Amino acid sequence: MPPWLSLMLESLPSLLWACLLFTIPLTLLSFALGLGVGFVAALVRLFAPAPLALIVHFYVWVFRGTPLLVQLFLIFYGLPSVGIVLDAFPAAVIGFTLNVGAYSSEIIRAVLSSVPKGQWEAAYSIGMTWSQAMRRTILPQAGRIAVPPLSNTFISLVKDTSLAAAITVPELFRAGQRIVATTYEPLILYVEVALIYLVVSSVLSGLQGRLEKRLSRYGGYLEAAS
Amino acid sequence: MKRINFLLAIGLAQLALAAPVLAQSALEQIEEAGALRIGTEGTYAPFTYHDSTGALVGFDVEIGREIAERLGVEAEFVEGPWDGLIAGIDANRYDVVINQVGINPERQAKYDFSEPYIASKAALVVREDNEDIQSFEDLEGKRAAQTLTSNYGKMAQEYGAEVVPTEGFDQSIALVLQGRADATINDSLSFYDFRKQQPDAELKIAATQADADFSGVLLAKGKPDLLQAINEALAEIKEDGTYSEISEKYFGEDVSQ
Amino acid sequence: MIALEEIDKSFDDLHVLKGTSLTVREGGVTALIGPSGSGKSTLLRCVNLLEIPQSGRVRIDDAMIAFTPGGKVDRKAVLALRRKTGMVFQNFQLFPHLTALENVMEGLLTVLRWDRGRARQRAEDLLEKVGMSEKADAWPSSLSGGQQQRVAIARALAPSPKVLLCDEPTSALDPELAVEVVEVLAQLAREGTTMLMATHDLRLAASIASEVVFLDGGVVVESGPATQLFGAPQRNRTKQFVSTLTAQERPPA
Repeated sequence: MPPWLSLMLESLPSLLWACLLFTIPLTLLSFALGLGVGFVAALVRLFAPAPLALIVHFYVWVFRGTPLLVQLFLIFYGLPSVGIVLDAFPAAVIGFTLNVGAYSSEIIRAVLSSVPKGQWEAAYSIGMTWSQAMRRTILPQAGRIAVPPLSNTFISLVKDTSLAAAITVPELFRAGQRIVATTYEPLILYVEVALIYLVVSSVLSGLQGRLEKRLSRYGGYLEAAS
Repeated sequence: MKRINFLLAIGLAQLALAAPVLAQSALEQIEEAGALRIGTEGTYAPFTYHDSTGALVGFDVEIGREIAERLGVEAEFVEGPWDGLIAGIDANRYDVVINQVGINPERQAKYDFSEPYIASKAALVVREDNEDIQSFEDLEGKRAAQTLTSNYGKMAQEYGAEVVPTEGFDQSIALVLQGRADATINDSLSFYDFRKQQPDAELKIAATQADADFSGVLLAKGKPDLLQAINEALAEIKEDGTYSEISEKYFGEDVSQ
Repeated sequence: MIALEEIDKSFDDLHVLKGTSLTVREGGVTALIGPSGSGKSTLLRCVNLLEIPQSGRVRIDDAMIAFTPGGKVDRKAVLALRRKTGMVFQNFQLFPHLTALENVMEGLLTVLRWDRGRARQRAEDLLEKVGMSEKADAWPSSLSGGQQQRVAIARALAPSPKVLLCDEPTSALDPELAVEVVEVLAQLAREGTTMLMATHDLRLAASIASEVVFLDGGVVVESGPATQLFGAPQRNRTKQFVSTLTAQERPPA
């Protein structure tokens, strides 16, 4: 067996372990929380009174306008100066959540606005309240439209979790760095790490495609509403 | 007379009883928690790194474990890249840093050091085919790959080199091999370890420092009990032969001088 | 009894309805006609409060809401009033993520909280009534405009509203498809369904309305039985407007 292959095989268990223990939970947790934040933020910007909406607008502006890496450093290395010391994993979750929240709030806002106003009126005309209309009529439609952009956000997040290495989270990339530090074989190890990310994101893209296909079976809403 | 003595005695007794109730010292907190939190890199062979099974090992790591044992607690390692490591002390993420932290006046102004636990000689590493750099002075105007806040980084700057910032030893070595930096200064011991892993790499030591630098266990100021306990532990480790054992294991020689 | 009293409605600077009043006779079809911008759609949408008037009163049977400029609107009262009405929209607005049957059932399940069996039965009956039984499990996007509008009518009728509001029900349909919708509406009219319809299709109004209200510039110009308004309009403006209808198209005297 060529030495590069044996090194890859030797390293695989610790890389996969780091991926399973940190990369994947970090992604899932941050995405779930981030979507929640994004949804609330979108609703505030669409429906809440101006002062609240302005605050949310500010949050979205800051988190979309600054690099994710800087945000992570700020939370992990910067906050201790004002007395807030967070462990690496929670700091990473908070950073990614706020970031995903900002980006997804824009997507959700656009998607909610894209559902025709007439659908709201139709829902009201049969006597629904605002929240019934949201739940039964608007969200099911908006949800389907939101699947492609939000899936992209999710897949990007999987890759972005590699930035957590810089704030000491022992996820996949950092595990790779650790092995390079003792073997001095950056090419072999970083190719291996990249391959693992590639496999994960490809699997997710495949699932996204299947989901989109399933949701399109009832046809586009645009035709029905014209 | 008798009355004053009596009152004094009562006063002293009260103080003696009150003392333990006053704020806990750092050492007591550690003993209560049952763990000494140690900040370290985990990517700096042969001092602190992960072996092929993924376990954290290394000279500094084992010294850390021994110290914890003498203190009667577990050693709990928290890993992070070098440039943020000492800041972790300020943020109280861990109690001490054991990571080849060189003892220098700047650091001593802000932190406390234990007695030295290792002596290291700085080595100047260049590519095998490099004839331009034959001494530290030749670094003037050349590019040196270093971590920004290390002793070696400062040393390179003092010799007039242009520092190319990296995050660790393996990255610095890579830059020199790739020709992206002309040289790197680091511990001769880490270079020898690198040699063991990559015997064919085309690097050589151009020069070694005559005087050794010493590294100590770094902790925040204001913890006299802890400092004393660590120094006592270190003395014990050296006396009972544990130190030589660990030293031989990693370096094949005694590195306390 | 369904009545709008002294309704005033503006959109920013545009004063659309100026103290307009309207009574809808139960059991009959009242048509709102008038040129574009006359306010007929707006007036219609004030009945189910999709538009909130600045001032005036909206009354359906014993439920009444009074509006004053700057006054707060009680959401519960609005919902209660709205639930006595059903609306058919110009562009159908079926829920695209539900089948035809589910569209009709939706209000019954979500708003009236009927159990599934009862809601399904009622929905099936209504779809049969509008001639769409065969397409009960079809998605709206697979239906033609006329078919969608018929399902929309069934959906609006499901909770047995006091009045069926139709906002330009045939205007988005080409004449061939409009026929099937007109037939359904005519059948409903014959059965005595109370309807209020805003339309610019004078032929539609002439063929099914019993009462007609002619609106121009946010003011009621003339109102009365269809035969009179179309056959012998009293105001000149009305005469002008309905003159586009030929003699054959007018309702028999």
